[in-house]
Amino acid sequence: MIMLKYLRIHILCLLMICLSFGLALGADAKFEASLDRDRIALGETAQLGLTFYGVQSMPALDVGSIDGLEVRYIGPSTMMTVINGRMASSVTHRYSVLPLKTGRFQLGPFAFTYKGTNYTSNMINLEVAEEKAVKEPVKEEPITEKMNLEDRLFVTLQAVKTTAYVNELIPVTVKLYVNRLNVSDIQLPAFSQEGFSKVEFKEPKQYKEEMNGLVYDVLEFSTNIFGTRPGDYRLGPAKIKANLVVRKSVPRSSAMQDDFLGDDHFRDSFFEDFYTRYEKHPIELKSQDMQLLISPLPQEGQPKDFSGAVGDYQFIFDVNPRKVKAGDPVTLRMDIHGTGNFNTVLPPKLDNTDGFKVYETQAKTEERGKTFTQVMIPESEKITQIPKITFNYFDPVKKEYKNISHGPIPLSVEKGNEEAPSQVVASPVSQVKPSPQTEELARDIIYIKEAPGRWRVQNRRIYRNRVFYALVGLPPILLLLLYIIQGRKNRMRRDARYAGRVTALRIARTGVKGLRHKLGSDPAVFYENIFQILQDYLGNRFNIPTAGITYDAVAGLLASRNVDRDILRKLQNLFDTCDKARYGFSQIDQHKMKDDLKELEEAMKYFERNKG
Amino acid sequence: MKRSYRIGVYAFIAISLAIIAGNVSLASDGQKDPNQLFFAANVYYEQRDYVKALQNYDAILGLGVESGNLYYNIGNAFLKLGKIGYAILYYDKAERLIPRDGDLKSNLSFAASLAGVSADGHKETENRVVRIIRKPFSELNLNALAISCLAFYLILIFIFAALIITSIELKRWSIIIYISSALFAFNLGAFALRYYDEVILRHGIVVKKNCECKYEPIDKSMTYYTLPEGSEILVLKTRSGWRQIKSIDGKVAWVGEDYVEEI
Repeated sequence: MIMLKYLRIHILCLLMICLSFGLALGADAKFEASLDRDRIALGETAQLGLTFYGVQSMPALDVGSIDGLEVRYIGPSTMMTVINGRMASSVTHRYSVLPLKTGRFQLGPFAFTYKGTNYTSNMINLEVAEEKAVKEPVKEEPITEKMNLEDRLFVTLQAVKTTAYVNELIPVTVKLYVNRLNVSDIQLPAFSQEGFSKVEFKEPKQYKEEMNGLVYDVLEFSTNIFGTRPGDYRLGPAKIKANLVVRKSVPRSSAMQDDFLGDDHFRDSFFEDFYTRYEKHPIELKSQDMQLLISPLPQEGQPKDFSGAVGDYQFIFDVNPRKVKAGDPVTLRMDIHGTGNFNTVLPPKLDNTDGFKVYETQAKTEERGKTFTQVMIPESEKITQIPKITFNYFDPVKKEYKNISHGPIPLSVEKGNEEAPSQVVASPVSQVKPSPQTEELARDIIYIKEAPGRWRVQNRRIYRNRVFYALVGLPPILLLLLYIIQGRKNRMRRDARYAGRVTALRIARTGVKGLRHKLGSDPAVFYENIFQILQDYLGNRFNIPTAGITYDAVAGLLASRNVDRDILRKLQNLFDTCDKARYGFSQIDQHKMKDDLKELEEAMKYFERNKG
Repeated sequence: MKRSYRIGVYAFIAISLAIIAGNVSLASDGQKDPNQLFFAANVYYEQRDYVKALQNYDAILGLGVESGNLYYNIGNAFLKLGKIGYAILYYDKAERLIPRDGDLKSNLSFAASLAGVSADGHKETENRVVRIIRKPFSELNLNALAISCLAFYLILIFIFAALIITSIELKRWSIIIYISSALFAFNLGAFALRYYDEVILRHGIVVKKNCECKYEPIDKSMTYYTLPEGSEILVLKTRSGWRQIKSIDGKVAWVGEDYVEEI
């Protein structure tokens, strides 16, 4: 067990190492420096962030000394997104920047080498003005102190357009804004999509954005949706689930602070970390919702074989080979590229496929295109061309239907060596009608079975049979019975007291039953049997030798066990009557025999009731 | 007493004769014997009259009986008629009864290649654990799996019974018990998976060309995607001439009822 536990831990560790290693290798080693404000007044502080993208951990960088600025390390924050099992992460080390004089300062570029990788950041500028010069245009207090959590952590939902046609792509962006907060385990956005296609988000983009004088870490999720039916719909609100990591200070004694923490700096940097714990709070952020109007595609000018493609496309058509023998395949390649909805792009239609055996079209969808491949077999050398092919679509910008046609393309077909198979339309088994076009398809099909095999009733399940149920249900019951019986047998062998009690009970039952039949018989024989039963019963019941049991022999034992006096009296009476009857000292009638049998039963019932 | 006894005997003989006569007349009627229908269908097949062959095979199904070989032959006849979707449908039905049959595997694979679909269908999307559990029992049909499961179960019960009777220490038998229990659990898992797959899930095959799968069960609804004939799907529900289906890649859509047949 212990070995297994260790093995499991080792495997987990290995997996974690592999994951971290893979993440480190696969991710871009991007390093960026940023300031939360680029203009501050003397006496104010700015926050410098050094962000490493694509890593999960990174030691703090010593930024060195900058003339006119005092830079102090605050701590790290990690942002991690888990999307469909893939992680995107960044580590930001934050520093407090306190200006000592006015002027324009240049921070960076910061250079850093870690595990053989060189990191170089961008350069940023900080302008420090006299106190009044900065404070007047800006509010008197630092903005962040006045702000609520909703201002520092929020989600927005944006769509490029608010009106669109059915099937027209609408780019939608969900942005998560985070200002100087530690947010982890960010999930993919979710929102109501009634009337729209399924929402599938791409890999999110991570960048910084300044808004109202604040710098936000932004996680941008983008996708394309399209309306599936006309109507006026509300999209959103987009919801994002994440964990907000907050610092929680553990209370410490003030006496200890006073005694040992004279120096503020020492207290802040060391003991703040020591006494600080981080807690994760699950949060669900909601954006505003928005209205989208989905218009139906115009009926006017709609081509007959319009399949629902909406966008702006180019269509390239190619046939290969262009010289074949009858029965040999020709591959048609149809490339449709452009901007628009490729989900609703169906294979362009050929004008006429007479004389060809046509196979199913294979489709391959890419981000900005869709390729169809179709195999056609000319059935005779009379075929001279691949028919004209047309692709129809609706252009939502120009608001009109368009079509792109190619061909007909000349095709040289020579006489083939063998007859080509042809297509036949058939129906389900019960509705099959003879067709004049019926012809063999086949080359590699293995022949039919000559024997029918074992017939069985349709949908007969052997496990729904009563015998099957019995075979499943009875064995555990039998096993339980066997267990009980065997347990009883074993106890009889091991426990003499228990065995005696069981034997006594059996004697009581069979003996009394036998005596009832002998009520009219010779009193001597009847009482001889009673005497025998009494001896056997008491001997087994109290685990004493049965031979030689008389009332006098057992009276002491029974009295010590607090047997009721009335029962003792009855037993004494029975033993006396037995002695008299056995040796012919008295005349006993049938009533007396009946009464004595009753007394015997009462005594035995008493002993069975009182197990001690 | 004697008279009534005699009447009873005569009545019994009369009823028995009537039953035998009925059976004889039933047997003499060739149309009702699945074996004769099967051989007749094979003759039509040999004469390349696949439609008549199918009519005879279908008559057998009308009698309420089935066999793996029957479904295989129906599949062949459909394939000869160029109806690949129906061919795959009947090969899949046959596979549930005769999963070990090499001819069947070969023809199913051939039909799937003609249709441009995968012969394994949904099995390709199964996760590794499910595949590992399925693999050792893949050659057994559901009934055979149930029997093997029952056999392992009874062996396990027998071992426990022997343990109780002989009062041997559990430690001495532990290896046997572990092995038997593991085999039983493995077999039970395979049975449960197969039962879920064949009885609870409603697998179907697209039996017509260019099956347009729509967003809504309305003719004018936009097409979400199209499926080639012979594609395997799951039927989720049926509603007034439409079936809601789920394709192998998980896309849910509606198709006309006659485009899909359940296996």
